[in-house]
Order: sequence, then C-alpha cells, then structure tokens
Amino acid sequence: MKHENNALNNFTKYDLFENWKNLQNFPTLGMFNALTKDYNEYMEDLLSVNRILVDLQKNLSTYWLQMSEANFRAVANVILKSKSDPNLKDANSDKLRLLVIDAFEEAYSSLFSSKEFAVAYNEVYSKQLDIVNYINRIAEKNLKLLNIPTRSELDEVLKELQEVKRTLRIMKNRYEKLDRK
Amino acid sequence: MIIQDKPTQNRNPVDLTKVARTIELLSKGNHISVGDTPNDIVSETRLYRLLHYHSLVKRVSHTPVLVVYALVNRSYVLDLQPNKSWIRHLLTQGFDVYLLDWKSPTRMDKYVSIDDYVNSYIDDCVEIVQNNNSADKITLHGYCMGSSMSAMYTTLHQEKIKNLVTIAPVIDTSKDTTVIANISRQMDIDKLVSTIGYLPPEKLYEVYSILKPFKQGVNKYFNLIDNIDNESFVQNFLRVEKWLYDTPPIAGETIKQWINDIYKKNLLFKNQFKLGKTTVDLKRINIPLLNIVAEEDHLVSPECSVPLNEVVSSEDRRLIRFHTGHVGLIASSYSQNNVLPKVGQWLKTRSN
Repeated sequence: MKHENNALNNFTKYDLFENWKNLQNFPTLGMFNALTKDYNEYMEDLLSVNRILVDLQKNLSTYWLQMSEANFRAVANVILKSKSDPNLKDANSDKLRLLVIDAFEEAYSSLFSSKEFAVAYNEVYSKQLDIVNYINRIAEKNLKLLNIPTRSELDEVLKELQEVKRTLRIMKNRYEKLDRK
Repeated sequence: MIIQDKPTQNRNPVDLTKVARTIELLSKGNHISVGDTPNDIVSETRLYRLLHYHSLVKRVSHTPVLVVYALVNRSYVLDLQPNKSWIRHLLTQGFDVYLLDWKSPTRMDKYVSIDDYVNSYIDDCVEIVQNNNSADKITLHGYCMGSSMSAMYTTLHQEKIKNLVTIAPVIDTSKDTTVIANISRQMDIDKLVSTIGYLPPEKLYEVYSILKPFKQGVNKYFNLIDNIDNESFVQNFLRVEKWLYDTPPIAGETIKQWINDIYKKNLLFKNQFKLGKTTVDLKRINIPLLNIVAEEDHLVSPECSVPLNEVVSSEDRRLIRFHTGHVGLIASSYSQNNVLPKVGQWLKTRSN
C-alpha cells in the first residue's frame, strides 16, 4: 500500500500537467490563434480536472490505508481475546458479539480521534469539493454565454440583501430605543 | 423460525422471525409522532418558529422560560414523547415555556450569520415573550449550540434576562476531545461554503456516523432485534432514530464563523468572538447561571462546557454534572428523574 502511495506521489510530482500547459501556450499564427483560443481554455479545464482526480485518488488511498489498519487492529484484537476464552469460541454467543463490537469500537474510535485521520478525511472531502467547483465553473461559463445571471452574481445579490436586512435591524433597534425614551 | 443446527452449550439461537420483523419495521420508514405537547405558534418567519406551550398545571413561576434549541437536528427532541419530554416536565413544574424552533435555511440564507441568529432572531423572540407575559425579564435556556448562542445573547442584552440556563454549551473548544472537534479543526469550511453555500445535512450524518460507530451505530440494531417485541422500546428507538436522521442544513456564514472562530481559533472562550462589530465578552454575564453538563457527552466534551462557569462574573453560578450522554441529558428517563427536578428547583427559587 505504501509502495502504491509513493508511486502516486511521484506521478503528481512529475508535472505532466504543467508540460501540457506550456505546450498549449506556444504562439500560433493566423486563424489558428482564434481556433486554439477556445480550445486551450477547454483543454486547461480538462487538465485541471484530471489533476484533481489524481489528487483525490492519492488522498483516498491514504484514507483507506488508515481504515484498513484500524480494521486489522480490531480483527487481531478479537482473535487474541477469543483464543484465551473458551466461551468465546461459539460464533452465536452474546459475549463474542460484545467483544467484536468493543474491539472495533476501540480501533475505529482511536482512529477517528486522531489528527492523521482528520487530515486525510478532510483532504478527500476538499478534493471532492474541487470537482464540484469545476462543474460550477463550467455552469457559470455556459450561463454567461446565455446571458443568464450566474451563481456568483446571485451570491453578490444575496450578500447585499443580508447587509440591508442587518442595517434595517440596527435602524429599527435605534428607533425603538429612542421611542422608549 | 429458529435456526439451531446442533445443540451446543452457551449457544443463543438466532430468531430469524425477529430479524425479519426488524427489517420490515425499519424499511417502513419512521411514521411516528413527536413533539405532541399542545402549543401555539406565536411567531413564524422563514428561519424560525416561536412555540408557546399550553399550561398543564397552575403556573407557579412569574418568569417565562425561552428555550433556545441548537442549529443541528430538530427541536422536537425536547418533546420526544410524553414520558421523556423536557418541555412537558417544565410545564408540569409550573413554568410558562416557549421554544425557539429553527427552520431550515436554504442557499438564499448563505450570508445569514451568528450575528443574525443572536441579535435578530433570538432578540425578536425575547421581545415577543416579554410582551406576551408583560415581563421585564425572562429566563433564557439553551441547549448545545443554543446554549452558546444564549450566552452570547446574554452578554449583549443582559437587561432582558433574569436567569441563564445552559445545557452542554460549546465554550472552550481547545479542551474539546470529541471526534466533531477533531474533524472541525481540519475542515476547510471556507471552500465548503463557497462551493455549496451551506453545510449540507449529509455531511452532518457522515460525521455522526463516526462518533460511536460500533457501540451505537451497530449495536443498537442488535438491541432492537432483541427487543422487537417490546412496544415501548421500539417506539422509543424509532423516535430517536427519526430525530438522528432529521437535521436541517446550516447557513453558510453561520457555519463558517462556528468552525473558524469558535472551533479553530477558540475566540468565544478568549472573549474575542465578534457579532457584527461587537465583541462578545462572557465576563459581562453577571446574572444567575446554571450550567449543566454530561460526563459521557461525545458531542461536546464536558471539559469544553465547564469553563463557562469560570469566565462569567455571576456570583450566583452553579455547575451540575450528570452521568449520562448529550441526548440522555434531555430525552431519557434518567433526565426526567435526575436532571429536570434539579433544574426546576434551581429555577423556582429564582423566577419570582
């Protein structure tokens, strides 16, 4: 697993994507310039989403490695404890069930409380958000082309609206205070 | 149908009919009633409802109680079922009870901040309760995030509050050892909010599922199979389950402040947390304070809640610890028999 991680690290370190970007930036002549202008934009998007997917894969490997290690610890604990107690050899016994639950709880709770897990978990989520962001960017581009308000434009409106509400609240409170006097 | 291939000592047969009935019960969905204590909606906006409960006995207290619920899950956990209802118990002790029940924010509410919750929505409700009861001051009573927001409100509008009662408030997050605190400290909440606009419920369920993954997440279903014939157990299980998987999203700006300022920078405890342009200084609180914490709380560590008593200036302040969990504090037989009588007793002597 570790070996696989190193391979992924090396893959992303070797900046394949940068080389493509450099290639795209080469000057072109005449009508090719106009044609490649749009093409380059889409190509860059495609490259960046590939880069996100590779990073996501790398982060997922770390995440699953941690989960597998916790699973291994829990199973080892169950085997060790059940060997020492003959009552635990019966697969249907409540005691065994509780032992399994306790062992798994201990292994996974200690994992979930660790900083390493929090970092790995949030890195996976962060890359998933990058993919959503990528889709949002495409949607924004298309909305602009169709002359429809985009999400970021609506966001600005919402922000201003909330500011207006706050200002109104402050004015109302000041007015009420004066009225009470 | 009972499967037992060969008689063996210590072997509990697996009753497949029980398993089948459990699966059937869970697949039907949770059509179960909650929050049944009679009430009137005295005010409703896009983001909250203010409920006023009907009196069940003659009122003995002149100071109304406004309960401020958290922004996660739904407030009906305080009125889950008649024999485990926090609200009903307060009513039977003679208090006049109001509940601030938060509604679901949408993308439209991306820029609603904690400032809006505290200085606008809580303040509106406090004034409605004051006017309804012709009371100068009321008791503010928060649960979890609602406790932290109640403490913030009290620092800024203390002239309207007679007593502050907090249950499991989030205060000193540097001492919070829960999985929620651990995940929050590493979370890129700015990216999440700029991408999605709010904290989606699915993210909350994801985090809940890793809090006690096997002791609660798995074992509870075994317990349900064992107790499938026990009607009261099943009803209680379904109600709690319904509540666990019923949470609204949290508005973008609100969750950003909550994670960045409270969990990552611990600004509330450091008295540097800002609501708009005003700094929240917990030292300013000098009214009677009752702070209730659960020793086995896995959502807000007791060590995170206890410091509220250390930072306020109130001479009359009390901390009570109970040997139960976060939900056990408010919605259990333990809570009815141990927690609520003490809360009522404390309030009665300070509510006239």
